[in-house]
Amino acid sequence: MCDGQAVPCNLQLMNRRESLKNLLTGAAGAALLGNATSCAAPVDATAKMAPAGTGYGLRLPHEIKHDQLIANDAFFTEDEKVDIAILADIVAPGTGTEPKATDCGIVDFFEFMALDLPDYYQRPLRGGIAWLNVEAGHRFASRRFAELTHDERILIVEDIAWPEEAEGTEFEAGAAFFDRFRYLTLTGYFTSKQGIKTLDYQGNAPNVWDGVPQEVLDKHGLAYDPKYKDAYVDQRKRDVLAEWDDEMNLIS
Amino acid sequence: MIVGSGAGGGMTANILAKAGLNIAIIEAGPYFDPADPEQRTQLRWPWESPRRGASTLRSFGDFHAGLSGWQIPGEPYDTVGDTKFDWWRTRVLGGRTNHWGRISLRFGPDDFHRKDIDGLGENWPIGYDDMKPYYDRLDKMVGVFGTNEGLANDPDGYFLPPPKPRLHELMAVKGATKAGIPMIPGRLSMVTKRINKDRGVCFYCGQCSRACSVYADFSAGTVLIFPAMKNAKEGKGGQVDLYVNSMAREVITDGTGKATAVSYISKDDRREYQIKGKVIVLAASACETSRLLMNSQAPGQTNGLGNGSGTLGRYLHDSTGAGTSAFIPSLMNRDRYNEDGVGGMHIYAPWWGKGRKLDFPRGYHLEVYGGMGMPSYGFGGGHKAIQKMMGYKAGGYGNPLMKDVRAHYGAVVGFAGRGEAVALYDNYCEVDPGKVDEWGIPTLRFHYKWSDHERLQAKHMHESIREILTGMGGQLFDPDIPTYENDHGLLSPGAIIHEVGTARMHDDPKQGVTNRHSALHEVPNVYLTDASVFTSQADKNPTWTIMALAMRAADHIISERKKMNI
Repeated sequence: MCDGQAVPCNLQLMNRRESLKNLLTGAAGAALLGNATSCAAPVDATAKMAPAGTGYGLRLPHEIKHDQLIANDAFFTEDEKVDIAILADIVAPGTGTEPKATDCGIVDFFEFMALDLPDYYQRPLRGGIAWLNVEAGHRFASRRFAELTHDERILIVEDIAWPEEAEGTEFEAGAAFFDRFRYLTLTGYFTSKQGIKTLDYQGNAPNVWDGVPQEVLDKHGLAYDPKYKDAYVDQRKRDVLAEWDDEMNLIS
Repeated sequence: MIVGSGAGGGMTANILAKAGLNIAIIEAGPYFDPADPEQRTQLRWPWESPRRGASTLRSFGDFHAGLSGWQIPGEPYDTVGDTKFDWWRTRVLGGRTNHWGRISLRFGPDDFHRKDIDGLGENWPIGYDDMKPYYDRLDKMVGVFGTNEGLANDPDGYFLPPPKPRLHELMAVKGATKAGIPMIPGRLSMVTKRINKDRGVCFYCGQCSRACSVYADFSAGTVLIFPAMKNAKEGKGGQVDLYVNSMAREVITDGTGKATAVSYISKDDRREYQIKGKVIVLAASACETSRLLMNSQAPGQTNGLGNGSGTLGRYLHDSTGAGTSAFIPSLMNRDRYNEDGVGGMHIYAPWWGKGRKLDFPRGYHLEVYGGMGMPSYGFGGGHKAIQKMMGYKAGGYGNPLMKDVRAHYGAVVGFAGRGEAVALYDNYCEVDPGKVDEWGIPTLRFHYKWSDHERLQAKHMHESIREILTGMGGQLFDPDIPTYENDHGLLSPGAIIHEVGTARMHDDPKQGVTNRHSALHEVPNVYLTDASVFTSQADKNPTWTIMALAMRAADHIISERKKMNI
């Protein structure tokens, strides 16, 4: 919030790494963490906040075992992976500035999820890919989906991309497959390092929340209740030890 | 000798150690410190999990601190007849406090004597005046933000300042006000203003459910147990011995019926050990605590320890839960900025229905959710419903679809009602005589049915929430209220993870398991400091009351020890 308070205005423009560093070590950081000499644990904690090596937090034995089983297993064939890549890039083709699905590790993600949630993904996806190839063969003189041109592929996709329209037709099963495929592609795309950028999500970083930006409030015709003006946290004083009087009023 | 390192166990441990008593804590799960970079999940990106945070292995997602969950391999439970009961277990140091919603609501004066008010259930043997000093101490010790509103049954407290509402929350307040439902700042246990030198101040990452690496949100391990252990090391306070990966099995008593030890199975070698204690405190969570007592005995107490009343396991009840969500067209194509905030709602609606003519007896509060949160497995899955609402074909592919998904981001808002159920004798858990878990400990089976008191309350929740959402300009995903046959959309009992009761407090030893000091009537040196002692729940989440009661029980232990009574 650039409203003249302690948080520097250019904080929002920094990338995540810099904003993290600034918050934790600069003037704002000192305020955030308090006196370095008086709170050893938080300072140490944040100093080590860079992601650790291979793990991603405390895992239980049965969780580690589950993931080890997946690591030693495989599901999709090479042909299927080619089809997944093609179809995923039809769902998320990218633009000049945005990655396509295969730029976001989508095939590896499909492989992992098929092993992680076998009942939900294995038959539906495998059967659907097989269906896709049968359909391609019927329409286009026995060619496989991977051998079709882009426009030929789109002709098939058009028939299965709208579940309600496909209901009760010969494309109902294909539409059910594509629905699941699309779901996994979208989720894999936006939760990937490359794809998440296109969402322009600004969070997952140490922050000083001081309310909705004024221009956004104005756009929506909303305002903060003046009754609570002095009750909301004053971020300039967040590091001052809380004290109350006997009437339960915060006085610091 | 304390079983359980969660809200109750952690608080009891902290207070007793502060008073110089030497304590041992046994915890069924592993050691956990969210500040440890190897153990922390806070501030990790979805792609750091190979399943992008999916709930394959953990019920609420791969990064969630709720280790274990509904189904624990090797630790089953059963339901009897057409009972649907979901029993949550968090097996880790600090227990559920690592991932709880941090909603910290004092019981109000009415909440201690509901039977006087509506003739249902039973009164607590204590009242708000008994508890107020402990709530006061608790607020200052642990920290909770909020505002003093002068509400009769949602008492004022020593609040830290609350964070400003987010955009969808401002809209929610507007919609709720239109519907005649006042919303006030939330009351959550995150440190928005420095509370002591050991804990950091919240930096609004919205990931409290992953536990906090700067200890800015309350978890029993980081806020209660680590400081007690640190004090012990520095020679200030009693000794604190922590045994993790230790599954308590039974309370051991001597020939006089006094408790002398707890036996436990070490998960490391699967062997049984015992820890002696002059005082035994059980805080393993309501049903685990009563399970321990059921699996224990003493001379003349063969139906479970402390069960002379026959009410052990009985009067089990969970919060009611129901809700729905809507798409808010005016929130399409939102401006992007960091609105993670705290890991919970910045505003809420305390029960507003007192004095109204309603067809159900007990109240509930409303929680709100929404916003531009961090994507996780499942992101983008709701586009078809929204496309239909916007009047175009549902489905699609390619850049138009991608554009839709980005346009809908942060435009869904939902409400959840959390209310008070009436405690019934016939809702209970008991030991299954034919089954043991992988540690050889007899397992539980559950009997539970909602009553119309809860069903009609859920109906009201659904009606109120829809009124607010439509008042916000929202388009409901489910315009129809679930039918009576579907319990008006009530979530299964246990699903809210606020199960309380099974060893209720009562002055009469024939009608309850514990006395007004949280000790067993029949075994004065056994105290229960989790929610098992609750006589009734309130339209308020239990944790704040669990901790206040634990403080009070700890004070009683200290004074009884001084008097050499135990």
